Amino acid sequence: MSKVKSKPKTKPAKALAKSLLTFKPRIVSFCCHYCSYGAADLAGTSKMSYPINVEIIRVPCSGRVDPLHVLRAFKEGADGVMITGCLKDQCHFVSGNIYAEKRMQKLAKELEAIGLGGRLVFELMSAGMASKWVETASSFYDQILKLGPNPLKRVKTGVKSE
Amino acid sequence: MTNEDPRIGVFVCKCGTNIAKVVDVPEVAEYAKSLPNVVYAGWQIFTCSEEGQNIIKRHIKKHKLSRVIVASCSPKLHEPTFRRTVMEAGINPFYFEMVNIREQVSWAHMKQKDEYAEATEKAKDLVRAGVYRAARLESIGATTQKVPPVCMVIGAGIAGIAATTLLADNGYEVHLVERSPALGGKSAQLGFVFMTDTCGVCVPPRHGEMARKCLSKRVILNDPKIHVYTQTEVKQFSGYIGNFQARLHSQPRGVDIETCTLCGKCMEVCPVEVPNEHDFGLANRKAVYYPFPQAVPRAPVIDFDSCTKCGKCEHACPVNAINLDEKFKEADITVGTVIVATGFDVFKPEGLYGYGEYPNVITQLMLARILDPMSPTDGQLLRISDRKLPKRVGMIQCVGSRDPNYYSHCSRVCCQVAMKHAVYIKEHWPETEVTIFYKDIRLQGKEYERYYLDAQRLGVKFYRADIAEVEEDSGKSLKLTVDHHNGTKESFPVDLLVLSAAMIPAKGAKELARTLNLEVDLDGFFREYHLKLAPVDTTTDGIYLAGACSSPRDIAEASFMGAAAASHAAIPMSKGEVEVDLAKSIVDESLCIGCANCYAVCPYSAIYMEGGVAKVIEVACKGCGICVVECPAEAIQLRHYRDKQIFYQIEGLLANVGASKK
Repeated sequence: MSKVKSKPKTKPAKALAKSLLTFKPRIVSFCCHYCSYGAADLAGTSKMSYPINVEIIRVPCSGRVDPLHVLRAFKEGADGVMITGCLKDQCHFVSGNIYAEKRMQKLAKELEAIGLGGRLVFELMSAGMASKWVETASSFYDQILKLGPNPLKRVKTGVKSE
Repeated sequence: MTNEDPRIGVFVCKCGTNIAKVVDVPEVAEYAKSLPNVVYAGWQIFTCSEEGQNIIKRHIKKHKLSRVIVASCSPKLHEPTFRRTVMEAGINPFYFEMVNIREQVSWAHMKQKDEYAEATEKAKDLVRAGVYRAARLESIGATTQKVPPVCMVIGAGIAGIAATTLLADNGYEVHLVERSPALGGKSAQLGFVFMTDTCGVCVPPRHGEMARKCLSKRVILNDPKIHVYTQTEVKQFSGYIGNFQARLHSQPRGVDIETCTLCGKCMEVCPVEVPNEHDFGLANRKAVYYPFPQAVPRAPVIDFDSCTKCGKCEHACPVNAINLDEKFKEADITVGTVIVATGFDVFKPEGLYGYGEYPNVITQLMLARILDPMSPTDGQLLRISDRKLPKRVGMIQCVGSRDPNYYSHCSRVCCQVAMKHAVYIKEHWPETEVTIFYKDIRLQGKEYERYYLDAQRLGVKFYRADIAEVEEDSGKSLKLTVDHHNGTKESFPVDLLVLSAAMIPAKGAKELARTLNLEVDLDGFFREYHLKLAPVDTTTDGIYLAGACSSPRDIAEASFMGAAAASHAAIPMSKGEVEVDLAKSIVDESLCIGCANCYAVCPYSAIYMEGGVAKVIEVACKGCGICVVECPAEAIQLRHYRDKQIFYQIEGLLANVGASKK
C-alpha cells in the first residue's frame, strides 16, 4: 500500500505547549466520488467515529486534486490535508489514483522543504473499506496533533485570497 | 462565468432525528442566513419527501433563487433527486449543490456524545463551503450521442447466447465473440443440468422452443442478425457508448466452415493423437477434431499446436476445405453497446486433497464428463486409475471457496452439483456408497431442495467435517482423515474423491478488464455498477455484464441475467441516442499551448490535438479531471470541478480559521 508521509521534522516549541492543549487540528480531506467518499459514507452509516474536524471536499477522482488545491488549503489555515483515492487497479477512472500518488509524493517533498512536512497524507481504499478511512483519519489527526498548528495560520489573518 | 449576484437558498434537513439528534439543525439554518449571497435559509424534517421538494420549488419562485443547496444526506443518495427538483423549478441541475451532514456529521459523530456542539460547528463549516462553491457554479447543458442498433457480446456461454438471441429477436444486430472454437461455454461440458436434468448443450434458450432451438440446431449461425466469431478475442477496444470500436483477433481454424461437408475423412487420416481437453483426457482426439460431438459451428477445427502439418488431411479432403497455412484474421467493428459474458473457470485445486498427485482425485466438472452419456465412458461411473466402478465415492465441498487462503466467496452451485451427482450415482449404481463432506449445505430456491431430499432418501451420507489429510493406499484407493479438533481423528476410505472446486473468474478476465476498462472486485470478478440497483450495468455507459463473469451463478441465473443485460443494452439502442451532460473537460483554446500533456494522460482517449490545440470529445470524456492538473497553461478545465470552484470551496470551508474561537 502506498503511503506518502514525509517525516515530521520540527517539534512544537515548548512555549507553544500550553496553547497546544486546546489545539484542535483542522483537516481537509479530498475524497474521490467513487471510492473513498463511499468509504467515508459507509463509516458514517456504520456509526464509526473519527475526529470531528476532518472535513471532506468531494472531487470526481483523486487525479483531479491539484497540488495547488493542497497549497490553497494550507494557505487558508488547514493543519493537515488528506487525499484518498481508489485502490490500485480499481480506480474508476483507470489511472487517476496513480497520477495522484505521483503528484502527491512530489508535493510531499516540496512541503517538507517549506516547513510543512508531515502535513499531507495519501491513502488508497475501496468504497467498502470504511475502517481504513477511519483509521487513516484518526492516525493522521494524531500525527497533526503532535506536529502542532500550521505555521501559516498566523499569517492568514487579514490575508484574503483573490 | 458570469454570475451576477447569485441568489442562494439553503435547505437544511433534519432527516427525522437522523441529523437533528446530533446537529442543531435550526441553528445551522440560522447561520446560513449570514453567509454571502444567501437570500433564503430554512430547515425541514424530510427534505427529500414530496412535500419537502415542493417547499424547495415554492421558495425558488418566492425568492427568485438561482442556486439551491440542500444540507442533508450523501449526494450518492439524493443528488439526482434534488437535481430533478430544481430542474422542475426551472433551474439548471448543475446549479444545485449538496452538503452531506448526515453520513459525514450526525452519523459519523453520533457516538461522540459530548461533542455534539462541535458537530453542529462542522455542519456549519460544510454548509459554508457549499455556499462559497455554489456561488461559482456554472450552468451546464447536455448533448446527444447517436447509438447504432449494433451490440457486441463477448462470450458465447449461457448468458452470452441468451443475450444474443434476445437482442437478435428484437431486431438488433449482434457480433458474438467467442474465444474457443465452439459455442456453449461451460454448459457444453456439464452433461445433464439441473433443475430439469436436461442436456447441457441444449440449454441456451429462445423462448419456449427449447428443444428445437438448441445449440446443435444452428439457429444462431443461421440468423442473419447474428455474426459469430469463434476462436476470437477482443484485442483492442476504445470509444464510448454509441461508438465503441473493437479489433477482433481470430485464430485460424484451418477448415472452411462453408465448404466442409462433415465427411470426417480428415479425422480418419490424421496421425496425431492428443488428450481431448473437453473430456479432461478421458479419451484422445486427433489434431483435426470436433471439440465435442454436438459442437457448433459444425465443422472440425485444427489444433495448430499439435498439428505436424503432414498434409494428409489436405489430401484426404474431397472438397478442399482444409488450409494448413491459414493465417490469423483481424476485423474492426463499431458497435453501440457491449455485453460482457465471459463466464468462469473452475479453480484447479493443485496441492489440495491430493489433486494432481493421485489419479482418483478429480473435480466435479470431470465427474460431470464421466457421467455424461455422450462422454468417452458412455456415462459409466468409473474411477480413473483402473476404469472400474468405485464402491465408495467421497465428495469434498468448498474447495477453494469460502477459504481465506484462496477465494472468499461462496461459489453457490457446488452444493447443487454435488447433490445432483450424488443422486444420479445412487439412482444408477445403488451399491455405491456416496459421502458428502461439507462445511454448510446451501441449497436455496425453487426445486433445489428436492435434490437434497432425494439424496437423503437414496441414502447419500452427509458428514460435516474438516478433512485434514488425504492419503493413497496400495490399491489406489484413498484414505480421508477427519480432524474433530478435540484430539480425535477419524478415517474414511473412498475409491473416488470428487472435489467441489470454486468458480473463479475466467482466465484472461483481468486482461479483458484492462482492455475494456472495467472494474474488478477482490476475487477478480467484474464489478457491477450497483449490486442491487444496477446489477448488469458497469461504470462505463454502454457496457453491461451478464452471467458468471460478475459473480458465481447457476444456469437459470446466467440465463435471466443475459436477458436482463440484453434489455438494458436495448434501451439506448432502441432510443437511438443517449443524452450526455457536459460536465466534462473544456479547453480554452486561447490559452492552450499545444503541449499535449492532457492528451497523454487521458485514460479514455477523449482528447485529440488539432491545429496546435487540444480538443475534447465530450461524449468520450468521463469527467475525471486528470488532464486539468497536467495542464501547464491552465487552459483545460473540468466543468463543475473547475479550479476556481474547488478553491472557493476550500476557502469557504476554512473561512473561520483564525477568525473565531474554533
